[in-house]
Parts: sequence; C-alpha cells; structure tokens
Amino acid sequence: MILFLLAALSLAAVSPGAATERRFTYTYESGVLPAGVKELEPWLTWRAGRTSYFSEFDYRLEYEVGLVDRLQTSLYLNWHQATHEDPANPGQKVGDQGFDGISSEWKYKLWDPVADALGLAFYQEYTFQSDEFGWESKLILDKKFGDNLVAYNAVVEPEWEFGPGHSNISWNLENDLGLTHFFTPAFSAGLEVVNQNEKTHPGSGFTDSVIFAGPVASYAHENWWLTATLLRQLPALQRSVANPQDSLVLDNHEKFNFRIIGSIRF
Amino acid sequence: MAALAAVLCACAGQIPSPTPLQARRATQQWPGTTLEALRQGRALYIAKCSGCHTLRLPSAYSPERWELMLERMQQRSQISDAEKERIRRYILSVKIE
Ligand code: HEC
Repeated sequence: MILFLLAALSLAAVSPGAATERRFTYTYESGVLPAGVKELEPWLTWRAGRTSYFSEFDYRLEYEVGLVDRLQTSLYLNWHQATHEDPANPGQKVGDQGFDGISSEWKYKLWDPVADALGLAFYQEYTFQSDEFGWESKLILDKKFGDNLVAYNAVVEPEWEFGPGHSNISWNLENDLGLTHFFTPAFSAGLEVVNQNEKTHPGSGFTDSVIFAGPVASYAHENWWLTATLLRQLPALQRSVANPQDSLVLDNHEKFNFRIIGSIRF
Repeated sequence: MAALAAVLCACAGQIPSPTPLQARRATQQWPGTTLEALRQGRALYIAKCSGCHTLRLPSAYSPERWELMLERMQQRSQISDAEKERIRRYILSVKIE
C-alpha cells in the first residue's frame, strides 16, 4: 500500500496532471482527454465476504493520455493483496499478494453526451500477465438530462489461461449501469448496478449470473476529484452450480465490493 | 423503441449550432468571422472542453464569466490562443438569441 502511494505520488509529480472526472467507478463515461492532456488515477477496490473467509484489495494505477482529439490511451499497473481461508487448512488464514501485470487501454469517442443525442465511445483493454492474457471490449453509452447523468456499458471479456500442457478460455459478459444527479457542479450522487455473467466454455451456458447494486458519490474540486461506490450483491439471476441453495453467489464473487478512484493535480 | 427515439430527439444536441443571424452579428463584432468559423468554434469546443467534465451550455454563464473561465481552461485543455479565440467567439455569439 505504501509502495502504491509512493509510486502514485512520484508519477503524479512528473505529469502535468489534469482530471477526467469520473462520476461512477464501475461504469465508464464516454469522455476522453483532449490531445496532449495527461492524468494519473489511483484505484482501490476492496472485495470481501465469500463462503469462506476472503478479503482482497486490488490496486490499479492508471496513467491517461489524450493522443489526438477523440482517442485516449492509458497504461495501468495492477496488483493485489489478499487474505483468505487456507483450503488445505480450514480455519487458518493465508495471505497472498502480487503483481497482476500491466494493462493497456484504448478509448475512442464518437458522440458527446451533451452535444449529441447520445454519448458513445468504444473501449479496448488488454492485460498482460506471465500466465494470462485478458482482453476487454466495452461499448459505452451515456447521456446528460439536465442535472442527471445516465451511463451504460456492455462489456465482453474472453480470458485465456496458459499452463503447462493446457490452455483454457473463459468468457465474462458484464452490464454496468450508472445513474447520478448533480446536486452542484462539483458534487454528484446516485446508484450503480453491475451484472456479471461468467461462462467457462464457449457453447455452454453461464456458470452464474450475479447482480450488485449500491450508492455512488463523487466530488470534484479544482485540483482533485474522488469517486466511490459501495456495491452489495443482490439475489443472483442465476445461482452458482456449486451452491444452488444460496441465493447469493459467494464461491467466486463477494457479498461486498467497494471501489474508490481519485485524481490529484500537483 | 419509439418512446426511446422520442426521448432522444427531445433532448438531442444541447450545444447550439450558430445561426446565420448570429454569424452576421459576429462579423460586425469581429470583422472576418464567418458562419463557418463559428461552426469550427463549436466543433473545437466539443473536442477540447468535454474531456474532464461534461460540456457546459453557453447559456449557463454570463459573458464575463465565460471570458474568465476560458482563460483558466486554456492551459488545462492545451489549446492555442487561436483555438481559444475561436471557441470564445462561438460561445459569445450563440449566447445572444
Ligand atoms: C484537463 C481538464 C479540463 C479540461 C480539458 C477543461 N476543463 Fe473546464 N474545468 C476543469 C476543472 C478541474 C474545473 C473545476 C475547477 C475550476 O473551476 O477550475 C473546471 C470548470 C469549468 C467550468 C465551470 C466553472 C464554474 O465556476 O462552475 C467551466 C465553464 C469550464 N470548466 C469550461 C471549460 C472550457 C470552455 C474548456 C475548453 C476550453 C474546458 N473547461 C476544458 C477541468 C478541465
């Protein structure tokens, strides 16, 4: 954690940071930085509450650059710190932490949520790890109605895993919806809903379909902004095959997800 | 679907396009400023000013406030003096009905 903050501070110190305000933390908006503008965003996600003890902090450090008007690219460093029950030793907790590779993001904006009938952007993210390659595509729609902002993302994410003698592909389909109201130009608060559908093999059905919902609040000041969401899992659209008696899917998802994203300008 | 289309049309583009009348007034105020130049100002405003916060409507602030904000936002949005002037003329022109 300390290392994370130090890295964030030192990178921020060398970048003439600005701020693509984000009003949601799970749902993306269509906005992209204009050409030549850069910014640094540290992320923290905390996930907790599984069938057996589980608590994980995921950290991401994002560096965004507007390449030309409409096209923005970012580089992310990812790592995590987790504590969970030791499968070999029930009742005992084990910790694990590690670097989760780097991600490269590309976002192209076609329409604006205020100037056009609908805001629209396409998003691609590639994650490179020693034994895994992740590829995420998002369709981003958003619209501002007076002081209200609505955003929706459709996300497709195939994931390849390579190991000695095997390779595996799994699919994740996600829907994200955010609704927020601007109480002042600086402060907004609303709701985010996330639906995740996981599919293990092409052709077979989803292994589960979970839904999370909770409040989001965001504050933007001259030199910084901060946005946080607390999600709670709601009764699953499709329960886990392994645990069909439970209305929540707690074998590979958590009861609570909390995410905070910020940006500081120096 | 029809309801969605109706909602979208009802609030389509809220950033006004300059009218020929506004362009004539702009030419009087800043000689040489054409309707085309105001249109370019609008395109620049959308491209350069939507990256960090949602676009503000030209009607949202007084001309004096806009002048001040443009000064403050120039460095943030990394625009040249010429680009700033195009955006300025567009915003001030469409504020007048
Ligand atoms: C790099 C990020 C960034 C870009 C690009 C940007 N702005 Fe801003 N803008 C901000 C921030 C941060 C604030 C709030 C703090 C402040 O007022 O300085 C703000 C506030 C504003 C406000 C509201 C001020 C108020 O008093 O409510 C206006 C109007 C504005 N910007 C106009 C523009 C215009 C016009 C452009 C394009 C030339 C632009 N912005 C581009 C970051 C940006």
